[in-house]
Amino acid sequence: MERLNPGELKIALFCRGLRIGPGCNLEEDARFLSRTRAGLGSGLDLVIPGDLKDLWVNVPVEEDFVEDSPFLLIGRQGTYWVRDGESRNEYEIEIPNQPNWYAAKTSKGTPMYRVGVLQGTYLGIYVSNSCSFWHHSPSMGCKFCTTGLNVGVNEIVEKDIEDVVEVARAAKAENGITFVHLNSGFAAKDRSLDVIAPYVKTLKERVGVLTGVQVTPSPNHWKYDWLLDCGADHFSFCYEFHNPQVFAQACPGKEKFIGQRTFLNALEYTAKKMGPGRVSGEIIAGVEPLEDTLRAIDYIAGLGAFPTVCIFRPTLGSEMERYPSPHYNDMRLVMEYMWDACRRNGILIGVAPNIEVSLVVTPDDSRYLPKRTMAWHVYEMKLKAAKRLARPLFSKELRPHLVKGDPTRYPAGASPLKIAPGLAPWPEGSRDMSSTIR
Amino acid sequence: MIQNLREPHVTNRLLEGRETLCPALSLLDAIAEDREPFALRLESPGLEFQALSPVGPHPNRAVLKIFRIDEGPLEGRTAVFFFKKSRIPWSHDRHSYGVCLLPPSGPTPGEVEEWIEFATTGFHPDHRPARLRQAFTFTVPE
Repeated sequence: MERLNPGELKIALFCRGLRIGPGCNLEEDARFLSRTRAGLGSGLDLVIPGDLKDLWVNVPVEEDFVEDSPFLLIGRQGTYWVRDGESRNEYEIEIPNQPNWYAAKTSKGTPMYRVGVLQGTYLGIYVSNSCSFWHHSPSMGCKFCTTGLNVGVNEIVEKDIEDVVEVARAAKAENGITFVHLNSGFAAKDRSLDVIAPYVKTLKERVGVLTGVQVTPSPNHWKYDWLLDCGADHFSFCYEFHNPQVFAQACPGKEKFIGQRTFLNALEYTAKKMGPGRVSGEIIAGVEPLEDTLRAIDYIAGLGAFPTVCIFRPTLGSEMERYPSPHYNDMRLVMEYMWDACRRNGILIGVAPNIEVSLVVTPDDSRYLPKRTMAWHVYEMKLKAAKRLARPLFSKELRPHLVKGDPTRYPAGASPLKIAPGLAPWPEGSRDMSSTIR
Repeated sequence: MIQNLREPHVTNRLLEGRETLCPALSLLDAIAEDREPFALRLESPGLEFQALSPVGPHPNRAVLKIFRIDEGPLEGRTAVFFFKKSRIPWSHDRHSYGVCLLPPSGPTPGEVEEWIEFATTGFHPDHRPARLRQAFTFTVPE
């Protein structure tokens, strides 16, 4: 059977998972697994070498479907290989080492790995105390997510800002990270961006990194301007499913308290404000009908934002734990479509330095999927030129520097806070568990 | 039943647990008397019981951890934490399914039965305990 190229292998590993076979000494050689944030990072990080670029992938190894995977990891004289039991092909891969700072503590005594972890080559930090959706009875958490189950178990409950600075500095010094992704769950009363703002400013001024913000959307669009003043470089909006019915069923909290339209409004506002390629719309493929996923990609890329498409993973402990992992052929089609949508809309992908994402197949990773036609080569040339031109800009951004925004107060002249209609009241019959302790 | 009950370390650990985690006495008795097999995990501190009844063709990965909360507004309360240990030997991960708080006077027989059943079914969603808290503001000790 034909060999898979690196992009195809990444997709196949997401869909089928990987069994750990003989000869592996991962305890010594690999990063330990850490399930943080939505639970997607529960897998094993590995790197697939390739001619266009090396691809990072966080391969599922914990979930039940992995037991039936044809892919087996084999260690052989200090090298690692993925053996495909169906095609009999073998692929040499690399296992990234665990950073030394994972074993270190901050000056307050917090183990650094519990503050943030590398997800590919960037630092991911879940800043706030869980997601309010999980503090309701019945739970309003998204059905594919395990965020509420992780904080306090695999992560510390609150992230101290000084701890975050120390961890980001350590990761920058040792791993050369250029990007810190700040993520938080739902905070009531439209406080999500307020919680994140001080971290953004501090990271810009004291560490010198690009910052990405991923929180539930605000109907108060002036807050995005405020965050930009505080130093945010990127916003991503996880609206998960384009099909409104699937969105409502799988994301009950987002449906009741926010509404899909609020996500789209914020995505549209920031995409227009920030220009092409600086905002992303995040969706999950493999649950809703394929046509809806393709529609989502067209919509997001049409705004000038880049689509971030997660391949659905039935993580342990989630409501959808027993839902099947998606089919490889479907996911390959989706990812190639995503690349083409970016090309058609002139979105510059892979321009920022050293941001390799292991949790999803990025548009930049999907360059491996299409046939290398004239259109492919023209787009590649554009991307190379953009990368070269952007280098001095990034070099400046990666030095600590003052930013003008003040995270402790809203900017002068900000419109009064809008809570409705974007943020609906708590549904009848639910109660706030965080304030009601039995 | 506790399959490794006769090992001296297990007996000592259980005796210690009975002294320090008083609200859990009825739960400990029920695990010991239940028809389904459990083993006390000696690799971790405190009281962690691995369910041993297979789930379909696969081994059961469910673990019950009984512990005392030592931070936050619930400090001093006893709780039972439901989790699956990572299948990768070196991983620190615990795959959480939630926590139930034990009232100071101990859980009801119905609650105890519910918790044991949840574990023996490998945390099947249809057997989720009624008072399962999936989000909590304290750290479960390792």
